[in-house]
Amino acid sequence: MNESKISVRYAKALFQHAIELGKLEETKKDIELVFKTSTEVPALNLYLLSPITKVSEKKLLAQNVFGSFVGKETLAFIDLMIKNRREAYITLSARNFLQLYKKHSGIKSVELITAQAITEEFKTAIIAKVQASMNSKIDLTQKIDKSLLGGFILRVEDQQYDASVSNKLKQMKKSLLEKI
Amino acid sequence: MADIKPAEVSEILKQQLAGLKTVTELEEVGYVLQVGDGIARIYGLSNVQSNEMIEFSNGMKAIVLNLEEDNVGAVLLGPTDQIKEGDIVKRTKRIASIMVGEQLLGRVVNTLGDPIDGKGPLTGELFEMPLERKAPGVLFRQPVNEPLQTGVKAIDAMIPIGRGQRELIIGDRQTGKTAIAIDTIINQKEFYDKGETVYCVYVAIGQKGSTVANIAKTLEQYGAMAYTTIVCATASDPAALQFYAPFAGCAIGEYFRDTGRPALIVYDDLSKQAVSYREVSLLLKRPPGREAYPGDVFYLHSRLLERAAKVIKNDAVVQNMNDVPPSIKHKLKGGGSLTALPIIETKEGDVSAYIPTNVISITDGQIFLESSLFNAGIRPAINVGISVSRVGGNAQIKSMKKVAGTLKIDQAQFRELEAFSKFGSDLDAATMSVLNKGRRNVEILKQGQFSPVTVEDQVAVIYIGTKGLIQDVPVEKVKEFESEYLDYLKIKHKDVLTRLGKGELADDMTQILETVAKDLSSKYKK
Repeated sequence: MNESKISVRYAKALFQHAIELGKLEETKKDIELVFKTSTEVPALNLYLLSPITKVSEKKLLAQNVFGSFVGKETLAFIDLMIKNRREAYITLSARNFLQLYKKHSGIKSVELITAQAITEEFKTAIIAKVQASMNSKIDLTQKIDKSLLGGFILRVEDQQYDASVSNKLKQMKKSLLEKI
Repeated sequence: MADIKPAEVSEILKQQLAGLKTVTELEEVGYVLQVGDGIARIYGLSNVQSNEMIEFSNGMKAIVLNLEEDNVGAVLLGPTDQIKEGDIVKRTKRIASIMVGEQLLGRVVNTLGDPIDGKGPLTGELFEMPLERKAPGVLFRQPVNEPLQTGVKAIDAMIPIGRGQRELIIGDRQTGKTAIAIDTIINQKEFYDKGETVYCVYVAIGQKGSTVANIAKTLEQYGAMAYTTIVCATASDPAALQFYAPFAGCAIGEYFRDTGRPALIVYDDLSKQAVSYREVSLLLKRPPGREAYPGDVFYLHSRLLERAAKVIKNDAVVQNMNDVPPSIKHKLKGGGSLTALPIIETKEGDVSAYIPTNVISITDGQIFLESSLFNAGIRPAINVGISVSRVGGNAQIKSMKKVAGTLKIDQAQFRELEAFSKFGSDLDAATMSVLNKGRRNVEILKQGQFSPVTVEDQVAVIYIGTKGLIQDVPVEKVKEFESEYLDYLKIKHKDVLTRLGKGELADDMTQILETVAKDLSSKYKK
């Protein structure tokens, strides 16, 4: 069975529902929280996926965890997924929802990985440059990875520009070995 | 060594480094959502193509098999535990392919074309050949008309194989399937020595490493490695490498086929390939069908075997052949062929299982091996009654066709009468003569392992068998008589043998064969 369809459909339904209610921004914030929690707390998923816990118990858990942080539409969505025994797809649906949101509002997610912390000026310069070339709003996340040695990696959606020193060294090693 | 100056070495290194260009390009990437059992699900890579090779950050490769709505399913070509969730994957924009060249001869390589025989990397010119490639179209083929000599008397006489044919070797375990294939490869030595090499590829799928090492050693011993490549995916390799191994071997065979040379490929065996394909398919959550094989397991084998072909001799037509990889476009030549000998292992002789019926229907005939015959000492244990070759008849040399024309029917009749004679009733003279001739023919068709027989010898021996010229020789002495007869012909009538090998069968020749047989057989008379 092609399972990827399940999460896509739930995400689409939630997205359209949120637009109809005019609560897109709130729902997005809620779903971001759900996505973050479910990826960062493996125990939550383990509990939701367990075949021996009852649906009512799972619903209660969702209520207790998210109840005070998310709107009632989002909670209803999680309830529906649990009721339909699709609890395994909550994370994937959340991811797809966020994807739909970004597409809808023309936001591109950009990831900047550097070997060392960068200055605020440099960051704004990069944002401006990417924004100008992409012609759209961007959502920047920053990471520091010492293994790059130097330079940076810039990822826009599923495109990447790897200008790190470690990549250059890797290329150098490859081409030197090829010549032998 | 004393002449090398450190300054010179650093100068060379400096030059090399100066020549290096590190280009930073925009790459398409994704990251691993989930990984396990040799399968990775990847998020991103929105433009990736089916069957494309992708690369993980640690250099491991994978092949994309499933394109789904929000993720991509890929099979890993290396150990699963080296890939972790969140790893970055890059597109290579290359369809899965291997590098092929003349240097592959005499080597043992894996599915990716990397040598695993410890003889160092491949050097010289290599050409990129895709693993998955469409078979040549109807326009670029011609009927099978040249024989592929296996050196096995029973096969060359009754189930002849032509160049470009696909002949299945099927049977239970321990019935000598691999032995027939290896004997066929060894028999090509004769043509290699004459300079008309038939290039051989042996694909070992899911076998023990020790078995493959043994086969390589045997081929080496008989001088057959000089024109043979072994593609090996052992039982411990990932399933993806196992089910792609025949495609890799086929790509090597196609290189020889498309450059106008005859090639022979042995797939040992396709039932194991189907099993590894089933494993991957089930892990990718494709719906299972009969015996839990996926629906496209027929297509898996049909598209592989369809690539065996006899290419038309006309060079001008061949230039326009479909799906030719750009790397060998300038080397295209007509008249080449790729003969396939797929092997299928049955369980308890059950040919009506899913995979055996599929492959039987795809191929141009089958050689059926039986354990009862094997245990009765009839080796090769070919069941002549149900073995057929649908196209090979046109490829037999004339002398063999004339001599062996009635052999198959004679033997069928013999087996029928033999069954009756077991009741022990009195038999008339005609029946007795059929039985006597049949028993001797069975002896003639027996043959040891690794001892292929040349066509001329085959024709000479089968002639005396079918003509019933050795009725006086006791059954248990037939083997002895055969070698004596052939030795005599080789010493006294070399010319007759040579002419037989060329396809001639004139009256003066048959006369010599008959007199020699009569003279020698009188010695054995009691």
